Amino acid sequence: MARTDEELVARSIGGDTDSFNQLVLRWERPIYALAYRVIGREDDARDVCQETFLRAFRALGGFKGQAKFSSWLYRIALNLCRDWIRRERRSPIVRARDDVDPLRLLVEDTVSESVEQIVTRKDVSRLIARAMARLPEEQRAAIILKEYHGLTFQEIANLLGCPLSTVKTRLYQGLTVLRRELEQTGVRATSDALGAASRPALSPMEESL
Amino acid sequence: MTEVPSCSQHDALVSYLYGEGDEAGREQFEAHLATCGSCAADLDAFHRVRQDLICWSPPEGRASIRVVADPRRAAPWWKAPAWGLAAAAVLVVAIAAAIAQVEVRYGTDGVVIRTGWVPSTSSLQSRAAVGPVSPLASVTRTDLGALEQRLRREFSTGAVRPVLDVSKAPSGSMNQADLLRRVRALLEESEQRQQRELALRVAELARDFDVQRQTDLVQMQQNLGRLEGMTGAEAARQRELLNYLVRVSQRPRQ
Repeated sequence: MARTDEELVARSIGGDTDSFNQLVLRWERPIYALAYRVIGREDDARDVCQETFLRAFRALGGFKGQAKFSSWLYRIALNLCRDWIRRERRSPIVRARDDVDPLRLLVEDTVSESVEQIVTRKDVSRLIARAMARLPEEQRAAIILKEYHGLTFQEIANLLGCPLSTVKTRLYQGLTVLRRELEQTGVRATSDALGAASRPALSPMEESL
Repeated sequence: MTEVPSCSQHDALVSYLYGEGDEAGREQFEAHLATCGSCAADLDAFHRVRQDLICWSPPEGRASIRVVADPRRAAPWWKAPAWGLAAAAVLVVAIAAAIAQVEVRYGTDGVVIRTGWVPSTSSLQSRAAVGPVSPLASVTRTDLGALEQRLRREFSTGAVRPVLDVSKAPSGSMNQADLLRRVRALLEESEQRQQRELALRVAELARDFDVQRQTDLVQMQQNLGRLEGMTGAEAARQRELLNYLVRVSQRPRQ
């Protein structure tokens, strides 16, 4: 039977490194996805992910369980992302994947999608990433935490340190900007071409959230 | 395309979109949707945006970080064996007792525990010789004096009871007169020792008094000399001023 995060945290504080490694295995993909979507660079997202767990490990003794362990991790990761953005003094950039190899993608992805659909989905993904990169940092964080990590309004408010109504406002404003951006770039038509059935299901990490 | 007037119920719209909020709020917003074209258009557009957002999948990535226990790292102190902790505790107590100079004695008046630095025997004797009589020394002499007085009184009244049980003496040859002689000899010896100590103490006091008197005299002479020097300098300044005034007064007027 799988142990809860709180049990693993307690064991980790007691010196059980295997328990902390289980926490890393459980949360490294969500944290990496969060960092990647906020920052937009794979290498830097990996660095942020590693640094998040390093800081969590060092500060584990100070974690008193006031919040969920995942919320605590998200907070560390978001702070690191914020530091990264301020240090770089530029908006997050999503590298366009120009070297898309359809044959490779065919092997990697599910066989239910055709090659054309896979390439189209990658294009849509790139366009969405660009549209997200244009959002202000606060709106982007709110949409990412809501859409891809399933946090409640209150959890997002706690993480971002703002009132609940501010979270709703940021979501509304962000969605409004994305709506305009996606309509201008023609993502809507491309997305429709994919069809609802061919859309990728949520990844295991996203399903677990 | 006709422009739809915007609506201010953004919070309710977002709550409805994500399915958060209570049932009453949901029904209320559904009633509002039936009459508000702006909210209906926003809701439809946001649903499509959310469907598009699903397509944004991050690349596979992991933290590639694992915590490994370092076998060279010593176990924390609280995980040390019990005998080790006990030995460490004894060592700490011993060091603390040595630093605090704890002295534990068991006598007729019970257990006595005393802390603090106690002067050595030699320093105690020297202090008794030059300074005020220490409590320890006075107790010894008082006891001896009391003992002497009591013995003299008993000797004079003839009600002497042997301190030692003569009948149990191994030889049986020690009679009462011998015992009295020995006691008198001990008393005389003690008396002579006290007199010598008293004489030594008086001599030390006299020497200290002389040294202090000499020191005071030197100090007084120095102070007097300083006072005289100051007075002389003041007189010289006044003499100079007087000479100046005389010279100025003797100049011919122009």
